[in-house]
Amino acid sequence: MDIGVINHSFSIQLPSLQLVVDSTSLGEFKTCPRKYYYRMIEGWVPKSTSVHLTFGILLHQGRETYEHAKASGLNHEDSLRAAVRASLASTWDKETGRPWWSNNPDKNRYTLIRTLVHYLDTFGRDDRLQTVILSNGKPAIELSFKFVPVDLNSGEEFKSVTGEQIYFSGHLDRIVSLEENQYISDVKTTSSALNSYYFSRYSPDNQFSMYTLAGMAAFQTQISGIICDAIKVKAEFNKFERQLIPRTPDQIHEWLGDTKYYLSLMGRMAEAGRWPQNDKACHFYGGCPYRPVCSRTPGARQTWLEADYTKSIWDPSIARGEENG
Amino acid sequence: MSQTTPALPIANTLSEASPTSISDLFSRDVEGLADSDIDLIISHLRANRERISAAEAAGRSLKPSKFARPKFEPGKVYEDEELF
Repeated sequence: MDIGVINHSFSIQLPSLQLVVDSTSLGEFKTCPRKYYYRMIEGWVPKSTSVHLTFGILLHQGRETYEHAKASGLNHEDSLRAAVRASLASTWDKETGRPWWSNNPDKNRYTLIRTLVHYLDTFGRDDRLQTVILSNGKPAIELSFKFVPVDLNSGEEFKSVTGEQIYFSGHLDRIVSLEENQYISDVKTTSSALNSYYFSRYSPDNQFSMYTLAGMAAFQTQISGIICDAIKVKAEFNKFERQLIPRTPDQIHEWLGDTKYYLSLMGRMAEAGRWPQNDKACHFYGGCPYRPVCSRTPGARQTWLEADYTKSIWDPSIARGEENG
Repeated sequence: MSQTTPALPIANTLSEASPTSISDLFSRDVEGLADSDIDLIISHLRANRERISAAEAAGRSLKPSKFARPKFEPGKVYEDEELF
């Protein structure tokens, strides 16, 4: 790595080996080791920021403000006003004195605020989901986690090929209770129709399985799965659907075993310094951002990276709210 | 935000669909907005949602139900597509 900023999620002994792994890193590796190499190890990102990522982050921030306000005792209207004010502020550039501008008709400042208001009116006002109060007395909202995964068969902690400790890390929106069961609550935005086909993408799903495990391992809470609030965002309207995405203990056990195998592959590739392309995944999610690089002859790729991409480290060892470039 | 550009100050959908006063609120720094201004934005968004819901409901009621088929007339020879 030649980033210049230390990524603390990687090994000191073997610098291309990740030791603190979040669902994003693991997902990139599962999708394509070469994509993982460019994004997580080399730190290359396209110069143009994805509007979908920006919109999702801003919506989560607005929701977080609302949940904190409600947890502090404010009613729906006051909490909503606080969330709208915070979102208007986070989409305002003080340097230029102008708002965030996006040329995406579905995802811009107006549709962000509209989505936030309509979403919270739909699910926030008389929410059947109750935020769990943790043993420290605080509401289980916006929880960063980092824990050592354990092999459920042998009882041994996960170790890397270098013998160093492996950690899982990440961030949960909220832990909630519903009819005596507890779940992780998460929000997703999409342009797709909110039908059974849409929700089927989450079973199985890397992120939701890790979140379920995290709820159990990091917060000592029995989690039965994810409650997914899906929001369809279009220029003229929103649609909302809430679905339960269950996970049984056996499913989590299976996921953990598979993940251990993937992590051992990650270690072997780091040792070999070889990150093979998965050329069957280049078209996923509207096209891989590194396809323009991989489509070039190997000797020309560095030039393309330096011309069209910039460096930004993804460090899952840093909790949300702290810096993560 | 990294995507900020000096060219277009107002989100596109708003300028087409909303009263000028709401556009004006969106184009101002939130620090200069009173709670009543925020409430005005929220009211505007809620009114838009109700308007669209009402239009959708009206549209649905005009669509023929799948059960609303022509009455069967004895003796008439029906083509398949007329029945189904």
